[in-house]
Amino acid sequence: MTPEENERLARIGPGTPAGNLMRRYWWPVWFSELTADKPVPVRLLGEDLVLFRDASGAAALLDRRCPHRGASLDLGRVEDDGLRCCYHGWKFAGDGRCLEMPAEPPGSPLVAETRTTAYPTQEAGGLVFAYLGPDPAPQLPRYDNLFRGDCIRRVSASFEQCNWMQRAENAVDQMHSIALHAAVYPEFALKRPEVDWQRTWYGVRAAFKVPDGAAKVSHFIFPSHSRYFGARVNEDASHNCNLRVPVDDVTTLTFSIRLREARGKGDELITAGLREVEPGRYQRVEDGWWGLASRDQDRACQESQGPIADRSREILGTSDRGVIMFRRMLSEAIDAVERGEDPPGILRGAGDDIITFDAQKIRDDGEVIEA
Amino acid sequence: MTPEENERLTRVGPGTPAGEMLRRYWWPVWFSELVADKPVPVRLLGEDLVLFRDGTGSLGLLDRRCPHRGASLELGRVEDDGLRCCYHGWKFTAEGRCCDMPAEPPGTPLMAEVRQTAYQVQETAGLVFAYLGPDPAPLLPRYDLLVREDCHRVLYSKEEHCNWLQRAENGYDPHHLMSLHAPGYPQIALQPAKITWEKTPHGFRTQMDYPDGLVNVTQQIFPSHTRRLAARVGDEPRHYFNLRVPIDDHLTITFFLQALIAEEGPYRLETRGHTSYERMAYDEIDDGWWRIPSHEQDRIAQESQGLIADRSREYLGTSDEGIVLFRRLVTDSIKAVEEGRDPFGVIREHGPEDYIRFDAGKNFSDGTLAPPAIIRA
Repeated sequence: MTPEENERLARIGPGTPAGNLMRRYWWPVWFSELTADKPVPVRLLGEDLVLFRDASGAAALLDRRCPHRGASLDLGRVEDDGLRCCYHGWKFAGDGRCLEMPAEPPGSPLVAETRTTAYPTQEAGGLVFAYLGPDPAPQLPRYDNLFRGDCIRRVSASFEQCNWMQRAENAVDQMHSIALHAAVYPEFALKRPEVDWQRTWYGVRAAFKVPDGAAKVSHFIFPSHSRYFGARVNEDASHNCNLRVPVDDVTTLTFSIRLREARGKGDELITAGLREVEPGRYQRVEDGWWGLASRDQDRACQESQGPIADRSREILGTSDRGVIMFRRMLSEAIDAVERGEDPPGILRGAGDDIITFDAQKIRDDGEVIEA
Repeated sequence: MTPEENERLTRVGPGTPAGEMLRRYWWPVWFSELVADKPVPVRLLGEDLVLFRDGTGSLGLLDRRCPHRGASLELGRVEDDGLRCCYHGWKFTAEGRCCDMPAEPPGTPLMAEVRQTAYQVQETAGLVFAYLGPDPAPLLPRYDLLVREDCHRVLYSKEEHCNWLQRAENGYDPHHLMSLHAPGYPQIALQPAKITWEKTPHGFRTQMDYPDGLVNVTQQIFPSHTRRLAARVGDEPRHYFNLRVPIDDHLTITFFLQALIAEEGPYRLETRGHTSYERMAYDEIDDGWWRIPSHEQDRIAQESQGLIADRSREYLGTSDEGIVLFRRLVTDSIKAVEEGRDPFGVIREHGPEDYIRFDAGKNFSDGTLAPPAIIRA
């Protein structure tokens, strides 16, 4: 890959080729339960935004910069009908209309003229999703981890200081389980797997099997998410979905949605919130492998590839077919958006059925692990 | 000096004039005792590297970036025959050969094709030295404190957030002793010395003659090291080899090899390891001078010159003769490398002596101790 092609795929700010592509999807920006009476600064695709919930209960997402003189609206106050800027008290409704300018003369025409950028939001699975692209917005796909009932759903998030593509590639790179996660999946450790990658409407289905029978099926949801069955040593097994969100070119925020069966006991939402991590610092353990705590393995490794991995200096083997498949999809999706078409995975008019995935892990005795 | 010439003398990355010259020397990169069962990230001349000792005891110094998809080998695991990358398990020997690709089909030709950059290393006096230049590597010179056995050694390192040339120039600048280090040497405070420069095969011998018969002799060892005797207030006099290592354009690590010569053993080696500092940060003291603690004076003064000192804006006086001599050596050495010759001080054949002797010493310590006879190794 040339350095220019790497830039084209990796950068996601407004007006960039991949940025235009990524703006066709809904992205989680924060937790529903943590969006209350204070404005929340969020950042998505290189844009600084502010999230708040007005008195009607609707989540609203505005440009963080006050259009008056640029003060940050995250210093503002949430009121019944909108968000008021701290500097001169301009107030904005959730749809971006200006409602009040207390220092201006009564009846000022400026109130009606002033609009700030507002983006559509919706909530699912304990998360607030936003859409930054052109109208009409597509549907938020009804993925099982976001929409199914009768389960205990745990939502959390953490930042990685690297470009989104490194995180996305990790999801199509089943091979890394045998090395990076060897300590927590000892049944796969350094065993050469057979992997079958199949392109699907949503991304890639990957079936993985090591010689003595241990196996797994996992899914890559384009452009950057994974849906898999987690069964690490010393952790509860669960149906997992990791939504990897490009915050800016060198920061990714991964929302993790873990489901366990409630078996008829109804729904429960556990909002674990943001896990604080220090860039470049990882929890170390003595495990005889890399010495990285289970939850820090991916972050440490992908951050170590650099803020934006230099793909002009790689050596790829046959085991990297999944990564190559993803990069091709990405390049084709950018082309599709440039032609005015919808990229892969966009749903319009798809109905209410929940989209399920056959993610699973099979022990070396052939038993399917249950959540 | 023009800004262009300043760039030419200071920048140390691959392909730069000074970088290519400095790659003709062996550099200490870490402490032998601290290279155990974990890979150690090191940086030298702007290159990110990883140092490890495999199960057979062999040291390896590899490019830190895995050639597969760029994960850091610093996160890897040291095994009997090499270092394994955490991401997909590629394994590299100390020589840089790839010896395992567990996810690839057995017998894949890719394994023989992939080579990781590996640099030569050797150990002496408790330090690991590396050579990043072209083959054939020169010899690691047998400087006295690296080789002689009759001494107790203490090893440690500190970092300075500035370019290597500022640190190296400090060795060729005897007059800073009477000012910057006046608090530690009150007898010579603001007393100009008569300086005698004598060129040696390794650099310069510097003799400072102060009033009242006080003498200090230091040895500059090209490109950036100093051999000296330290006898500051309250310290027992000790011989020092200060090895100043260009980590990158803006960071220098000084390895201090401190030696106490003793007739009888057993001889101790104490490895104290590395101390990091925040640029320009130190605890102020009240000493009637610069308010900088003794052990921070050089670092703070040289960091204050800027990350890379702007030599186009200097005023040099006659007392800066040593700086001029040194810069000429650097310029000549860069030119020699550009013309395909060895730069100054590179050794390809050991001399007849068992080690290279340096008569660094001084006959004064401070105001509280009686002046000793000139102390020489």
